Amino acid sequence: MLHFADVDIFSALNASTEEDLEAADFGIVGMSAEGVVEIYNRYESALSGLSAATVIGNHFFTAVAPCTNNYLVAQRFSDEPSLDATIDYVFTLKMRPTKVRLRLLQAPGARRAYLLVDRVGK
Amino acid sequence: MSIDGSEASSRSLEPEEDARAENERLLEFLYLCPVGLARLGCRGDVEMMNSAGARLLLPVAGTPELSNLFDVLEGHAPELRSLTRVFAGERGTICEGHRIQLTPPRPHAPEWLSITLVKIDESRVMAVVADITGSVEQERLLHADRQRFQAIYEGMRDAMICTLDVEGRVATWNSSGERLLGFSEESVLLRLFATLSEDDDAAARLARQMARSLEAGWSELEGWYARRDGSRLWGEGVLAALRDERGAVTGFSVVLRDMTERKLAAERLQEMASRDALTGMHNRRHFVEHAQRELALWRRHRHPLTVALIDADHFKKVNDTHGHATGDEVLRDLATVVREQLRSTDLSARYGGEEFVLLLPSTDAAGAVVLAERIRSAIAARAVVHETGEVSYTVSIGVAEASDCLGSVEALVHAADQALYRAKAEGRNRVILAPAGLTG
Repeated sequence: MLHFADVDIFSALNASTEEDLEAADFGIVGMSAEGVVEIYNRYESALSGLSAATVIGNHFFTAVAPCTNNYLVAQRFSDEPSLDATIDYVFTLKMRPTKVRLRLLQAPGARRAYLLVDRVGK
Repeated sequence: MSIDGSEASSRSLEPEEDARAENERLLEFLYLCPVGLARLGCRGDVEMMNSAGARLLLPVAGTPELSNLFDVLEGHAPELRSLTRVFAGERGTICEGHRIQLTPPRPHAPEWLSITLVKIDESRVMAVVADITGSVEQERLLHADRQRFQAIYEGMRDAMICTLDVEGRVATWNSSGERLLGFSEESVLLRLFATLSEDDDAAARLARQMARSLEAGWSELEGWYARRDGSRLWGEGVLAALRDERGAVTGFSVVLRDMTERKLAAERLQEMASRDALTGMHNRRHFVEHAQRELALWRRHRHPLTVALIDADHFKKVNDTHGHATGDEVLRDLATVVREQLRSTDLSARYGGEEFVLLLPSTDAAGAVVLAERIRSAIAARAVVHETGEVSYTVSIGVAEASDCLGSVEALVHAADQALYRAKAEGRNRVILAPAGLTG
């Protein structure tokens, strides 16, 4: 079972099967180094109302979740090659401002970067 | 690989599946909308908001809190709350494109937002939030430019700047032109710049200068301009072609200096130098210059041109009998009569001793003879009063019309002189026309 706050989440994610990702109780977005969505798990899909099929293959910050395309989120991914930060944020999930915690994960040489989304007070 | 909504409907899925696909399409549409949209309660509580709204407002909020728009913007635009509270209508626009500056500016975050609030009913307000940092910056640059130019215009005392469109109509006008020529912006905009000139051929001249500016980049401007108060201004300056970034001509700039004082001084000097002191008539040199110009025109257009030489009969006897003072009186009287009879386009000059010359443009031999006859008879009918009495005098006049044989000033004056000689020989006090083609 994957845990949002797991210290070693990065390697856990890399070792996960599709079933593990789908079973997680928080949102998981996996992106290529260019920011193109490769993983969009069931939990995240339920939060946003967008199916994985719609999202995968699109650029996350500009074509899926433009609300993260600012210095608080997208800029950090482009500025910090080595990144593991948890921030409080607001997603407009289905147009309802929803408090979330985001975990921004990126490592030099890693195949994917991850954005984890946990609803606050669920 | 993605489930396209329209494709899904065409496959006539279950109604539930259809609605789910539609819902997803609408959600995606709102997520991707580049302008912030929100629905607020009447106290600013955010009930719905799209992604762009969060993207723009979260950096402003500082904390991850977007539950109330007025709270988020309290530090930058506290007026939004009161504007909404005091809005009297049941529905309508509370504010449109209301500008908010976010200070201090953060890197990668907007510095200016525009907010539009529309009241839908007692409990709902729709909000549109847009990042206008780019356009405000452009406006700021434009404004700075305008101020700089305004300072230049204001500082100009004896000069003006304006621009013309490609057809020579006034496109922009400022305080420098208002001060120099007296015309307000409203009264000259779209007017042909040439109509501000006093010169008869101003339109044709400006067209030539515009053509030259297109060719060489600029050309010199000079001429008389009419001020609004009716006074005249001699302007000298530059007409330069204006081009856009692709090199296409968009119009012209005009820089004009008021050189009236210098021009008038120069004209007064020239006038004095060209006049005969005794009679106030032009002198021989001025006549020759003028005649050469008129003959050049005649060669081009072949409008008739005549010259008449007038000589006071027995002038030496007048001098001997009545003294030089009376002789001078006679010459002044002759000049007066000539001036009275001439039209504004004619030119008269004292050619020598008691000899006067007339240059009559657009006048053929017959017309010139009529005019000469009028001068002759007017003089014969009057007397000059002097200290000890009156003296009558007469004149003889020789007339010659320009022709292929008489195509130079020398030839023309010579022919008129020959005719004058004949008038003297035939008894004076008469007008004689030189035969056409007489070459002397």
